[in-house]
Amino acid sequence: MVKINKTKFQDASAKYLFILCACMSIVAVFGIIGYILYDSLPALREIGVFKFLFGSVWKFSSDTYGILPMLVSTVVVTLMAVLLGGVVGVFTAIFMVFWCPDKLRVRYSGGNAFLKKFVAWLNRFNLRAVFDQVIKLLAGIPSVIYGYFGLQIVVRAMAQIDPNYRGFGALSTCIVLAIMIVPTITSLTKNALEAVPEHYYEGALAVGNSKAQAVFNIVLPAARSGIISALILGIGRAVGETMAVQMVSGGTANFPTGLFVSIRTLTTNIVAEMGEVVSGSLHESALIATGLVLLVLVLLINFSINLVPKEFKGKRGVKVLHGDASAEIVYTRKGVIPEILKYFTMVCAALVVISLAAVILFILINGIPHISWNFLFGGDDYQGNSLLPAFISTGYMILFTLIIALPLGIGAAVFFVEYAKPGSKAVKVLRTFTDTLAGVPSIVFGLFGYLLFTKLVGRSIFAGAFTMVLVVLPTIIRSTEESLLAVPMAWREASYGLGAGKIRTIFRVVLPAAFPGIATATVLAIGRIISESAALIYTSGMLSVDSSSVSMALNPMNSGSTLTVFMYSFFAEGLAFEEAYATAVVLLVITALLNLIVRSIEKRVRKKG
Amino acid sequence: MKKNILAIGMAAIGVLGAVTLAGCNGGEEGAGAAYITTAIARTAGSGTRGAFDELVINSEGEALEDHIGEGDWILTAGTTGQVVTQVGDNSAFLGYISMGSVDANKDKIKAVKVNGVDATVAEVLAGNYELSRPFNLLYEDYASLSDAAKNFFAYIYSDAAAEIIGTEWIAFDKPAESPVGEYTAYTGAKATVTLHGSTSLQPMIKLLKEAYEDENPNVTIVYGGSGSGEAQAAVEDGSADFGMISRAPKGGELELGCAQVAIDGIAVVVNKNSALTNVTFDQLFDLFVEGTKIECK
Repeated sequence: MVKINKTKFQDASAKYLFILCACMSIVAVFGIIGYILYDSLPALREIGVFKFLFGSVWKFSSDTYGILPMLVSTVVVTLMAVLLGGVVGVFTAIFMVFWCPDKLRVRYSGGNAFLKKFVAWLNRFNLRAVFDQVIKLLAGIPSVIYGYFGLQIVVRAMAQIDPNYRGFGALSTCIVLAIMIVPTITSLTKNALEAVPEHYYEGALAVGNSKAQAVFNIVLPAARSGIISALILGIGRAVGETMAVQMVSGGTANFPTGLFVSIRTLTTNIVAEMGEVVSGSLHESALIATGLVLLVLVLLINFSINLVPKEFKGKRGVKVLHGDASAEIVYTRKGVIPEILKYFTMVCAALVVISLAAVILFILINGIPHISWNFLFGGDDYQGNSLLPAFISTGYMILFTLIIALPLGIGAAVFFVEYAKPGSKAVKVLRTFTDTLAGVPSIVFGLFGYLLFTKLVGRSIFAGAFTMVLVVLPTIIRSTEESLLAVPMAWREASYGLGAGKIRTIFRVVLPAAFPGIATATVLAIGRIISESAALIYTSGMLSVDSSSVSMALNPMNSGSTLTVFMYSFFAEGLAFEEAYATAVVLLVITALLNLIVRSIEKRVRKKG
Repeated sequence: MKKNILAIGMAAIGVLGAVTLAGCNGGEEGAGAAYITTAIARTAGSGTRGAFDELVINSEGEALEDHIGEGDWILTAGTTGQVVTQVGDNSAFLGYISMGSVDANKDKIKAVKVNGVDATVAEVLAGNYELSRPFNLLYEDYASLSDAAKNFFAYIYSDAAAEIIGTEWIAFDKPAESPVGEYTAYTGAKATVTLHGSTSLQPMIKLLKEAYEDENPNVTIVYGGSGSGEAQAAVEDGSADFGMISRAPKGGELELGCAQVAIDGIAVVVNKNSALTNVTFDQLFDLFVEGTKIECK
């Protein structure tokens, strides 16, 4: 009798613990909004909300702060980037789903044994999977690397066509942003296309459409809501992007009146001037208010996704669409346009491959010659710059972030899947907050960490790790949740049947079965921590390249640069970029490795299933 | 289908080649541009920006700080390094940085004369070079500094340090009422001294650090930060022993301890390939305020 009570008590207390974890997202969202709003108030009160939003002069020396030029620049550049990146992304997704062959079929009839082997090796690849990996790799590359690429390749190329030879400005920013949002848009569009019921496509072919006509006239319109959602998420990502934009935009708060006009976006306004503010000044408050405007803008964009009607959920052909929506589709349209579009998808796919290859080659060619043992692991007695302190800081950052974020994230996911009633209001609210947290731009996390955590623990690795917890929490929750859902209900029932309590079932049956998914979540979170820079510069700090030392990095109460921040400081300090590229090579290798790990976990799960 | 894949591959290789070539050619333009078209300002609030805007006064007596606005001829750089990177990459750009940062970057940029006067320490000392400002260190209060921090503080005012500072800046004598003692080698346990703030001070601190650590192997000097504005917060939250500001203290900084350690000149810099050798305050004023091009000769 006593034992049952104990179990009951455990079950009940565990439930509240899980609820508490799930509520962290709410706390975080309100905390971020509250802190940033509170610290914006002095500026908003003194300047006036209207004057702040619609003032066109941002001038420190006269304490005049109006953000209209930055607001307009942000909107214009984002829309241009989404137009460019959206077209390329959507058409690349179409290519991947409909025209990408499964295998390369290169034929070779010559006598060279090596070439023969090489061709056989080439033909073994699953092209579609490789392409998928390419997109994932593009998505995982830290934005600082895109910044260097933009600075050295895009800006220089633009300077050739700029009558004033500047190159910096709206167009360069837009191109770099477009490259950065393509992966997001492509993978989400791909999901949307795959969710369109197979009989749409087959039906279209059956009534005599060509493949291109079926794809462009039937499947594409049917997937439009998913594609719109993808574009909106792309917009959210572009609006929140900071470091790469800071490196190529020119940085002056002009209205974007021309392609080569130096501009400043909301995010770069914060990152450019935060280092120069006197704390407690109107200037500081005005910058935080910029963060508030940015936050509101991004939240509005992300909430607008909910307005897009959801048509097809789930995998292709799994669910059949009911109702008469299909009646709207006209089967008779014919013409050459779809055939032309078919080739356009190939051009876009090629563009994506080119941009990835260009970014990677650019880094490898410039970086590999500067990699040496001492550069990678030289201790304090090594005279030159070494990555060792950055490795240590990155390691700490990952460790502390995960120690806090994993239990919280897994606990929240357990609550969503095991305890919450599906479809209940409380769950909907909690989920909305988790999604909201996922959409907050990293510079806003940085501002929040600067306002709260650096005041608590000083500018230190800890302050950075606390900030990163909020950044990775939604990823961990989402990914764990999916893996928990995949555990068959029968396993839980069997466990209950054998007399195990709920808490025992969760820890002994469900969580172990969901382990691969949790491992994936962890790897994704590590990737996010490694590629982050904007949230860290003002929380864990940016050390001068040649003053970072192992002895300093070993104490996490000190400030420290992670690998990505270290790479950015070469630009910030005007040093030669060789070692920044070498750092980028290391980052690329890590990103690729993490992708491989995720892939192999997924593969193992699929084999088992 | 095979043909399509082949075509995509060929197109990819072609464009890639073009991109790589474009990237390689960009840096080497040979002779510099005929005109300076673009001014690089520092971010508002930066010590260098404040001093430059205050000191550049045109022949009608108007200070740059009262007239400078935004314009498509102005790029804004967050740090000294960003100015160097941008000017070093484009001969139509003009920027300004601490005089002490010029030498380390002379493979990319050069300082030009201002109103006919060379940008050298000697000319600043003689009072001929008009662009100069103070370098200050902020600290919580002298008594609460660690022994190592006090020792490094004393070192900055030592003769050895004055010699190092004197190479590119002007050493500032210890004020009579200063609590800082005479420098003798550090004898305590292993310790770290942290400085945070202005990027303009960092090259000077770097040289001092190297010399100091040679004499005092038990002390590690660490410095960083991306602007004068970070100094106060870093001192107040205890993450740094000293804050570095490249201007006179203001606002809440006035409540902290503050010691001037050097005087710095601001150099006007252009690409090393530029033919420009001299600029006047009028030219600088017109370039920054109206975007008037400066002919390089």
